[in-house]
Amino acid sequence: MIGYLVRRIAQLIPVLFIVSVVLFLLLRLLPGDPTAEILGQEASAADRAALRADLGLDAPLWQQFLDWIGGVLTGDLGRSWLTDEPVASVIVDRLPATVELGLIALLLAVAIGIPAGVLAAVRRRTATDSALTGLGVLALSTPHFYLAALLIGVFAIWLRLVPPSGYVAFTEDPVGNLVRMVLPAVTVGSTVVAVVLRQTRGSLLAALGEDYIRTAEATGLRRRRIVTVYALRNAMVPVVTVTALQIGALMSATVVTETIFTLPGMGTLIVNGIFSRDLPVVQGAVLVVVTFVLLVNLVTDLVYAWLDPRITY
Amino acid sequence: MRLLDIEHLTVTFGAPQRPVHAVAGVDLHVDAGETLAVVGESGSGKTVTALSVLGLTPRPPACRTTGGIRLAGTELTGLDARGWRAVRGRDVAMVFQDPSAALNPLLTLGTQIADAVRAHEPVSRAAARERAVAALELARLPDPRTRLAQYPHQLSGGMRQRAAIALALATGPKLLIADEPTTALDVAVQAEILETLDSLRRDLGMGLILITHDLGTVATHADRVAVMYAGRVVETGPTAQVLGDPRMPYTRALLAATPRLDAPARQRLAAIGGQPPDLRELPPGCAFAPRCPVVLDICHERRPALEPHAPDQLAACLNPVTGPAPVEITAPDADPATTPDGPPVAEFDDVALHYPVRRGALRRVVDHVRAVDGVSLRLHPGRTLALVGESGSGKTSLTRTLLRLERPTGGTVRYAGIDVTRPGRGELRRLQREVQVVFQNPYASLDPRMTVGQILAEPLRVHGLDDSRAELARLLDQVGLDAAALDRHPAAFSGGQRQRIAVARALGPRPRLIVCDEAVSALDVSIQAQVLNLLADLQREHDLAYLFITHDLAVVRSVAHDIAVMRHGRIVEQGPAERIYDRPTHEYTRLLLEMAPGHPAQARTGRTAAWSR
Ligand SMILES: Nc1ncnc2c1ncn2[C@@H]1O[C@H](COP(=O)(O)OP(=O)(O)OP(=O)(O)O)[C@@H](O)[C@H]1O
Ligand code: SF4
Ligand SMILES: [Mg+2]
Repeated sequence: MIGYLVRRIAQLIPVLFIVSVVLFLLLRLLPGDPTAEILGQEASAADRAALRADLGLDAPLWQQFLDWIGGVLTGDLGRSWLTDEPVASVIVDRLPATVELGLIALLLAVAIGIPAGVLAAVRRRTATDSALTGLGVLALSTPHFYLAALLIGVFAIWLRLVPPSGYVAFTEDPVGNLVRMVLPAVTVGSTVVAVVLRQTRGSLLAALGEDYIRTAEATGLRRRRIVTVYALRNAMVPVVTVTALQIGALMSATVVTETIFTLPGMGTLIVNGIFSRDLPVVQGAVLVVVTFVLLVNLVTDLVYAWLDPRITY
Repeated sequence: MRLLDIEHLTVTFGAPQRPVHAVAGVDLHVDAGETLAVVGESGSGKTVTALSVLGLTPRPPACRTTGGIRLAGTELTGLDARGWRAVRGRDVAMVFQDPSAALNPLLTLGTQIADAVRAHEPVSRAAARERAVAALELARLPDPRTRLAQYPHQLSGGMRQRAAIALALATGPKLLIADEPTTALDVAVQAEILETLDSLRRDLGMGLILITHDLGTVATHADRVAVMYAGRVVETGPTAQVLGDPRMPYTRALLAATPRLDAPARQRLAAIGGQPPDLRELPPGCAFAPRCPVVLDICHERRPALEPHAPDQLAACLNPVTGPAPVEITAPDADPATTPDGPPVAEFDDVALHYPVRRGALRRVVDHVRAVDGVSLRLHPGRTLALVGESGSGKTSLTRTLLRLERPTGGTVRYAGIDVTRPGRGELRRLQREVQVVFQNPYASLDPRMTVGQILAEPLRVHGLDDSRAELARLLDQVGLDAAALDRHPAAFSGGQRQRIAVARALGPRPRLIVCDEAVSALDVSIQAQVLNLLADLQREHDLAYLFITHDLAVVRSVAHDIAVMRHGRIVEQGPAERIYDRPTHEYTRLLLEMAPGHPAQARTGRTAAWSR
């Protein structure tokens, strides 16, 4: 097990290196001159040249890459071209909002998606099933920006239950933080809930058709125990898979959602960074996100092993 | 004492406009301490009958049940969910066919058995686990206490079946139903499991219903036998009487179709012609009439009732046959045992397949599993090579090298002179078209989401061949299925029917070599005979070569030209079939021969004598 973990983490290194190279090159391919973005269009050619030299943009590309990656390896993600703040501290500022958003969305997915999926499967081909399945389809087909606007309209502007936007840190004001996070989390979570619901329903129905369920029924077990222990556990492996696959989609939903609700998170950081050509910030932030997604993958594999005794590492 | 009494049971599936009469009026009874064998073709309603005793047929309106089932004096039909739960496990328990699918893979044996106990008795978790240990012991699983914490995948096939038996026994049922309990197991293990069931029945005074398609098993293990056809019992009585002097032509045909060691080599089996009836449109008269060799005009109009024809022996037939005269054998035709000439179609040359065993953080290779260890074989066009051995002996691994599913770690595998590990562009396509395979497990090998038509058309389309409906219907007809099957999904077919679909799919691209991996092991005898005969016909017509993998030497008696016996990855003996059957030199070959029906060693028990006639 430990050996497996070490091996898997070691495998991450080449992956992350390739990601870094691609990321670095892609960002250099962006049109426009960063110095013009930073100094404004009216800046003189001399000022821009000075800035170029200052930022090290005169050096050949490989040199720039080595400087950056060398820094990353020693824990130095560089400085923002725009504000000169250390990239690492910018990310540390922005990480909590996104992580919280993601966690609440995931929690919703598990707490609502799984029970709803079980209910739909058990009440298969009834009104309950149709209603739940229908809601799921609706949630999947509603764009995030539209859902966000709808939620703000109803809960913030009409019912006035929550503020329409803004953010306070959990450490400062836990209640205020949660109140403000509800709508964004529902927005981001809607897709994941729907995906988990659909997968849970499908794989539970499949599991209920297996031979071992008939065996369990033949011994006189209660339906309740058969569904929750004998079938659901087997149904969970694919649910974990699709949930893990949703993490990537979750990240793009976060970008939209953070923008609409003006949350200071990683999504807005990356988008703004791209618009203002603040490349060190974008590089650092994307690298963190990619590392996170890769680690989620690893955790998923560990969850498989926990769910299914046949899998050993 | 009368334990189970089934009267006029009918089970009907599907919409009322198009009903499927899976069970169409069954009468059966079992006494305490008695073994009743239920035999019959695939789809004849054996499993559905058993499931209705446990109330496990689908709920209405998908499925409707009428008739009476009395178990230990209690009427079961009409019970509510709660009532059925009390009966299941406590009064009647069932061991299902495939032990690898019947146990929950994610729960320990201890949890599964203790759960069953606690469903019926308010005992503590610890007490339930003690009961689980006792049940595992009864089922003769070695080391029962340590098994509690084990998962099904940690056990061998035979041990899994023992665990399934323990699960059924833990709640102390009065009646045990075993649905093909040994079909998926090796011969040696089969005998042990049946022996265990036998002694349990004796010691615990249980009634035992043994559903099987193996008449050898019936002969050695059943007190009485009920033969089912098209959802009805067509003949029943004491085993020796029914097998020794069958009255109903279908029973006779079943006996004649069973492959036996003492039959002449490579002779056609007496397959029952035609197809099992369509359960949606049962004829008004005898359901066997379209296939019956002694049919009378009246058989098409009047349905024969189950009536006594000898003491204790009932048969449903208007023209019962008597006397030990065998039913006519369809066109016996042994082909001369020619020696092969010309180049072989497939060649294994010193083939080895070693799987590395890795350990530790660095996954260092610490050892090898020698699945195949220096095997050389030749297969000629128009001939059948039977590869015989127990599971785990390396038969399947060896064929996987030919099918390019596995790269041999040593030696070479050639098809028509092509090295299969390095085929050229055109050669690869040729390999894929000309080498087809039929697997043992029809459940796993057919995609449940596709219709039969789609399943059959797929390989044809891949190779750019005719995939018209007429062609697909022709393929189905070759394996004894109706064209109506094209639009249905595999789930609508019984195990035997599904295997025929798999054979039809393999025949589609007109291959030159077919690998049959236990292809007929799961089939009941009449269909087995049909398929074996069919394979023999196709072989003669198209000069086909077969690589026939099996654990049963009797089955290949009618088809094999050459036999290679495999054990622990090596060939222990190979040669012409006649030589192997008559003068086996290796001890292991002799053991395999002794296990097969029709071997003189089987005549030890009195019951077998009747069967051997
Ligand atoms: N759930 C179902 N829905 C529709 N038809 C079914 C269902 N289960 C079984 N049948 C049909 O009922 C008939 C009897 O099936 P059953 O499984 O009892 O056959 P069997 O005698 O056990 O055959 P085998 O030897 O292949 O197991 C078959 O024609 C099958 O297609
Ligand atoms: S009733 Fe007629 S058709 Fe049916 S088995 Fe007897 S003789 Fe044959
Ligand atoms: Mg069956």
